[in-house]
Amino acid sequence: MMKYRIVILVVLLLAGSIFAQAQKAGFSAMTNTTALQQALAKNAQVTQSISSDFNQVKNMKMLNDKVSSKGKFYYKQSDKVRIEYTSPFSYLLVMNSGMIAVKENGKVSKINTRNSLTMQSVNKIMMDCMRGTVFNNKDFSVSAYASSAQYLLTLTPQSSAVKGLFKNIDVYINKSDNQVAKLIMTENGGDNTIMTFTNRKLNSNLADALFSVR
Amino acid sequence: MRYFLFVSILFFGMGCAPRPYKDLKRQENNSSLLLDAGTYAPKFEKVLYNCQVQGKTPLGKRFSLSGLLFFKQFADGSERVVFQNQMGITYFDFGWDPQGDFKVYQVIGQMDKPALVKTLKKDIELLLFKNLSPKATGVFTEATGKEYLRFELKEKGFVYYVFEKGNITGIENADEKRKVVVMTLSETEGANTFAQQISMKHLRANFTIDLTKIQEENNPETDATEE
Repeated sequence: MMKYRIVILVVLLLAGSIFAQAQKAGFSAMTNTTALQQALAKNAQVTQSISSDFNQVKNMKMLNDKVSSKGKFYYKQSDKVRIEYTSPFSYLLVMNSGMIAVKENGKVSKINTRNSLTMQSVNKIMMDCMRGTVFNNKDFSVSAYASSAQYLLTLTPQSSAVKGLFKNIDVYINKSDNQVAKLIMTENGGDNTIMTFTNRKLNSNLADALFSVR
Repeated sequence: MRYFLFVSILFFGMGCAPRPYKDLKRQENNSSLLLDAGTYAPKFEKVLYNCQVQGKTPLGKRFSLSGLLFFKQFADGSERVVFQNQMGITYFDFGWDPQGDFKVYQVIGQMDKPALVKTLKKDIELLLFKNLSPKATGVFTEATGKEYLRFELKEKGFVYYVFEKGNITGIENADEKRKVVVMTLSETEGANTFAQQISMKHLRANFTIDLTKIQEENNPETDATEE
C-alpha cells in the first residue's frame, strides 16, 4: 500500500512539474488566437519600420555564468532586418530580401554555414512577428499564452534541423502596442539566450542603405 | 615502373625534408624556464574571446565560422570551454575535470567528428598546459635569442612554448618530421597564454583559428516580462 502511495506521489509531482513548465508564471493558455493573429496582422500593416536597442544575455546553466552583449536592431517593411552588435564585440548581420550578409572585422561575407540556420530562424521569427505571420511559420508549432500586459508565444521546432538548435523560442509581445519585447531562445541542454528590446521607435525614416553591407 | 619511380622520388623528397627545430641549441645549464607543466598552467576565472575559424575542406571549398569562445576555471581546478555563435547558440561545450580528464558536454552535429573534436581539444590543451609530460624536457635557444621550452605530449609529438624577453610569444606543436600547429601570441605577460590575440595555424588540416580577447562590460540585466 505504501509503495502505491509513493508511486502516486511521484506521478503527481511529475505532472505538477510538467504543468509548471508548460505554464509560464503569470500567463494562462489562450484557447482562441484568432483575435491575436488579427491584431498582429493589423499592427504589421501600420508598422513601416522599427528601430530599437537590444540587450542580449546568454545564460549558461551548467557553468553558472553568462555572456552579455548589446546593440541596435532595425526593421523595415517588409523583409529587411539589421542586427548590429556594438558591445563587447562588433558584429553586423543584415537580412534583406532573403539574403543574409555579415560584416565582422571589416570583412563582409554571406553566411552559409550552420550559423545561418540560427540567424535565419531568429530573423524569420522576428520578421514573422512584425508581419503578423508568426503562426504560419512551418518550422515551429505555436502555443499562445496571455498575461495582463503581454502575450507569450512559445515556438516549438518541428523541422529536424531547427530541433537540433533550439528546445523552444519564447516570444513576449506587449499588449499595449503588439510589439516584440523579448525573445528567449532555449537550447536543448537548458542554456538560454535572452534578447530584450528597449527604446523602440516606430515608423521613423530608415534609409535603405542601412540594410546593405559594404 | 612509373609508379615505382614516383614513389621513390616521393620517399627521397621526404627523406630530404628539413627537420623542424634542427638549429635549436639545448641550454645545458638549468634554465629558469625548466619548471613543471602545472607551474605554467594559467590561473583565471573566465576569459572571453572573439573567435574566427577559416579554412578549406579537402575538396578545396572555403569555409568560415565565427563566434565567442568562453573559458571558465572553477575553484576545484576543473575547466570548461564553450564556443557559441553571436546569438548565443552553443557550437561546443568541452570540459576538463580537476584530474585533467576530458569530456564533451555538448557539440552540434556538424562539428561532432572525432578528428575535429580531437584537434580542438589539443589546441585548447596546449593553451592550458594540459596533457603534457609533467616536467619540461628541455630549454633550447635560437640564434635570434628566442627560448623554446619543450614538453612531450602524452599522445604523439611534442610542444615548444616560445619565449622572447621573458614573455610567451608562440606555441608550436610538431613531431620529428613536421610542424602541426603554430600559434602566435600577441601582447602577453610572462607565461600567461591568454594573450590579447592568438592566431592558430593548422598546417596539416589547413585551417586557422584567430582569437581576439573581449573585455566584458557589466551590462545590467533587464527583464521585459516583469510586470
